[in-house]
Amino acid sequence: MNPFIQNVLAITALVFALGFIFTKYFVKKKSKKACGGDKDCGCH
Amino acid sequence: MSKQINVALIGNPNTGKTSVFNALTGLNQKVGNYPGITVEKKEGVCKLPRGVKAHIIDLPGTYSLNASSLDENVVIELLLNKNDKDFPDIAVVVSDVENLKRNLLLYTQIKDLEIPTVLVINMADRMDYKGISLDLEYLEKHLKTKIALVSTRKNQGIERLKSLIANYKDLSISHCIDLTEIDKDYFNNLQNTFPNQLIYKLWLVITQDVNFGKTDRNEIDAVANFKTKSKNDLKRLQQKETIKRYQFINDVLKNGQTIDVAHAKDLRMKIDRIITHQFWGYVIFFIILLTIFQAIYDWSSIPMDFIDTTFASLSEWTKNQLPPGTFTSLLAEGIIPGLGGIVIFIPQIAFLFLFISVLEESGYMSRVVFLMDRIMRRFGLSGKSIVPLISGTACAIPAIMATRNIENWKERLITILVTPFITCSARLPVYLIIISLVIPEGRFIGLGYQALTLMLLYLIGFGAAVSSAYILNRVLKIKSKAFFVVEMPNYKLPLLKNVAITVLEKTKSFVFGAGKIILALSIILWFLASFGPGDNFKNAEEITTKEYANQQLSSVELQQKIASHKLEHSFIGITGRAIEPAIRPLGYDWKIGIAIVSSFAAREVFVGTLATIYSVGSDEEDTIKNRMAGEVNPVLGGPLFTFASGISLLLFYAFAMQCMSTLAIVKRETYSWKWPILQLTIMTMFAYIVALIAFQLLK
Amino acid sequence: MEDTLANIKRGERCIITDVSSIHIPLKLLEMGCLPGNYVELVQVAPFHDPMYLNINGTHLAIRKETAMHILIKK
Repeated sequence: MNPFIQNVLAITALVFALGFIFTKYFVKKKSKKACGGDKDCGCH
Repeated sequence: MSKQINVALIGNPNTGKTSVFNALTGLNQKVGNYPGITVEKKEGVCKLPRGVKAHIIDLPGTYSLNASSLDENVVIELLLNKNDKDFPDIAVVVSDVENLKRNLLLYTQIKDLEIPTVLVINMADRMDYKGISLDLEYLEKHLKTKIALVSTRKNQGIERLKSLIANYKDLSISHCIDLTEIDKDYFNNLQNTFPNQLIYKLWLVITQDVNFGKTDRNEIDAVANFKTKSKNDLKRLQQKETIKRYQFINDVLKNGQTIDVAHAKDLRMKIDRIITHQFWGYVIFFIILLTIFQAIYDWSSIPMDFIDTTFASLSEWTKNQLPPGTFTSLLAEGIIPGLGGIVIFIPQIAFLFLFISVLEESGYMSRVVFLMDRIMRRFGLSGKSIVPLISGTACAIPAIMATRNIENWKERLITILVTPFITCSARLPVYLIIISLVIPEGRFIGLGYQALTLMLLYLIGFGAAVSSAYILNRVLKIKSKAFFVVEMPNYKLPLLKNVAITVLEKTKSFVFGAGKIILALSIILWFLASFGPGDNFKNAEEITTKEYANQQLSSVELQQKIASHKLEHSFIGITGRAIEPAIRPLGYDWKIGIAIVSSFAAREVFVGTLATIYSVGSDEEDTIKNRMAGEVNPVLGGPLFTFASGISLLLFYAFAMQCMSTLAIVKRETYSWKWPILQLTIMTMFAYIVALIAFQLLK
Repeated sequence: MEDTLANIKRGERCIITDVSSIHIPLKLLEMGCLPGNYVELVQVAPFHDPMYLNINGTHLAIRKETAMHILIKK
C-alpha cells in the first residue's frame, strides 16, 4: 500500500469520526429520536 | 396475504407481562422511545398461525387507566386515540392468577373502551400451590372474553394465546360496567351532550390530566367544559366507580374462582418476616450489596485481563503485518486501543445488570423500598428513590428515567438532582485502573483492600447523594403532596430468559451507544496527538537529538525522547499544557488533563484516552496499566500515579458531573436548563475542591 | 372498636370501615383499600413507618400519614 492510500484512508476515518461527534452533539435532531432511552445515548 | 395485527400488551406491574412479551416475540424485539417523551417503548413481532403477523407493543405496567405517572399516561393516550398508527386491534390484558381480583380492575376498564380484549391469566403453574381453581368457561362467559391460561415458566398456553390473537374478530366488545348507575343525572347528561361518544372515554378525558395532543381537539375542549363538578366531587365519583367495578369482579369470581385456603401456602409472609425485619432486613440488604461488589470485582477481573492483553497483542500484530504508514498507525495506536477501551467494560456491565435484574425480577427491590423509605425521607427522598439510586450504579440515564414512579414532584426532583453522584458503571473502569495502580493487594478479613476501596467509593457516592439531598430538601421551596403506595409482589425465581434478555439488551446498548462515541473520539484524539503546529513539532527529531547530543543515550531511549517531545508539541499536548496550571495542584499532569476533558463525552473515555495518548509514540505495546505505572511526575519526579494523586483522581471522578448525556436527560425530565446547569457547576466545583484538599494533605 | 389504620398492631386483622377519599390516592383505592375489605399488618419498618399491609389479598406498603385517613373496625 502506498503512502497516498494510507493517508486517504486515515483522513476518511477522521472525517467520519468528526461527522459522527458533530451530529451527535451539535445538530438539533427532530423531536422524534432525541437522546432519551439508554439505547442511543453516550453515557453509561 | 400478510396482514399485520396491532396488539397492545397491558397489565399491572409484577404480573409477568414482560415474560409473556418475551415468550411471544423472543429476540424479535426492539426498545425505543415514544416520540417526544422518554418513556421506553418495547415492540416486537410475533408470527401467528396461517402466516399472519402480530405487531406487539409492551405497554408500561399500570394498575388502572387512572394514570398517576408519565408511563401510565402512555397507556391511556394510546387507547383513546383511534388515529394512532399503533392503536390496537386487540388488547391483551395480562393478569396474575394469585391477584386476579385486583388485576381484573384494569381489565374491566379496557373492556369499557370497547376494544376487543383477551385475558391472559399468567403464572398458572402456581395454582396448585396456592389452592386456586378456576372455572374458565364460567369466567369467559361472564367476563365476556376469551381466556388464555398461561405459564411462561413452563411455556404453556402461549399457542392458545397466539390463536386467540389471530382470531381477534370473534371477540365480544360489550362492556362490563354501566357508568350511569353511579350518578344517573351526571352521566346521562354527559351522554346526551355527546351521543356519538363512548361514555367511559368521555369520563376518562374529564378525569385524566393527560396530553391529548393527538386526538381530536374540538371534541376534547367540549368535554373540558363539562367539568362542572369540583375536584373532590369527581374523586368521589371515581371512588364509587372503583367500588362498582369491584362489585362486578367479586360477583364473577364468587362462582368462577375457588380458593382452598387450607391448601394455600404463603411463603411470602414467612420470608418477609425476616427480609423486612427491623434489624435483620438491613443486615441482609448490606450483605447482598457487599456480595455484589466483591463479585463484580473478582469475577470480571479474569475476562478483563484477557481482553486487555489480547488487544495489546492485536495492536502489535497489526503494526508488524501491515505496511507502515498513517493508516496503519491510526489502526494500531488509535482504533484498536479505542475498541479495547470499549470491550473491556463488557464483563462488568454484564455482571452489574445481571444482579440488578435478578433483584428486580425476584421482587426483592420492593422490600428495599419498604426498608429504606423512612430513612430516605429524612433526606427529602422517598423509599422509591432507592430504585433510581441503585440503577444509578449502572447508568444515571435509565436511573433518572426510573424516577417517574415517584409521584411527589419535590422528592422526584431531588432524586434526579442527586442521582449522578451514584457511582455509575462508566466510573468503574476509571476506578478499577487507578485502584490497581495505587492501592496495595493484600486482604483484610477475607476482602481484598482493592475491593474494599471500591466499596468505599460506592459508599462515598451514595453519601454525597443523600447529603446533597438533605441540603436540597432544606433549600428548595416546593410544596407538593406526598403519597406512597408500593406493592410487595410475591417472590419469584427470576426467569433465566428475562434476565438474559435484559443483560444482552443493556450490554448491546452500551457497546453500540457509548462505544461509537468512544471509538470516534479515539480516532480524533489520535490525530490530535500525532500532528502538531509549528517547527517545534516538525523538527522534533533534530531538536531532541541536539539536546541529548552530549549524553550517552541508546537509540531506544533517544526514540522515546523524540516521541515524548512530539507529543508535548502536538495539538493535544498544547491544549493539555494550557489547562495544566489548573490541575497541577490536584497532582495531575497535562496528559491526565486531556483525559479529564475528553471524559465529558462519557467518563469511560478516560481510560481509552490515556491508552491512545500513551501508546502514541511508544514502541512497545505494553498494557495500559503498565504504561500508567511507568509515568513520571514532571514536577516532583517519582511515579505520577502515587497514593496521593490516585486518591485525588478517584475523588474527582466520584463527584464531578462529567456526562453530557446525563445533563441532556435531566433537562428533558425537569423541562428546564436551570437544573442541569446547576448540577454541572456545583458538582464539578465540589469535585475540584475535594480533590485539591485530598492531594495537598496526602502528598 | 373504631380506630385508624395507623394504630393497627402486627398480626392483627381488621375490617376497613371508611376511607377519606380526598386524602387517599385513587391508586390505593384501586388496589383494594375500600370499605368492607379486610386489612392485616404484616410488618412495620422502624418507627412504625412505613407499614407493610395485606389488604384484601394485596400486599403493599403505605406511609403512616396515609394510614391515618383510613378507619378500621377490630
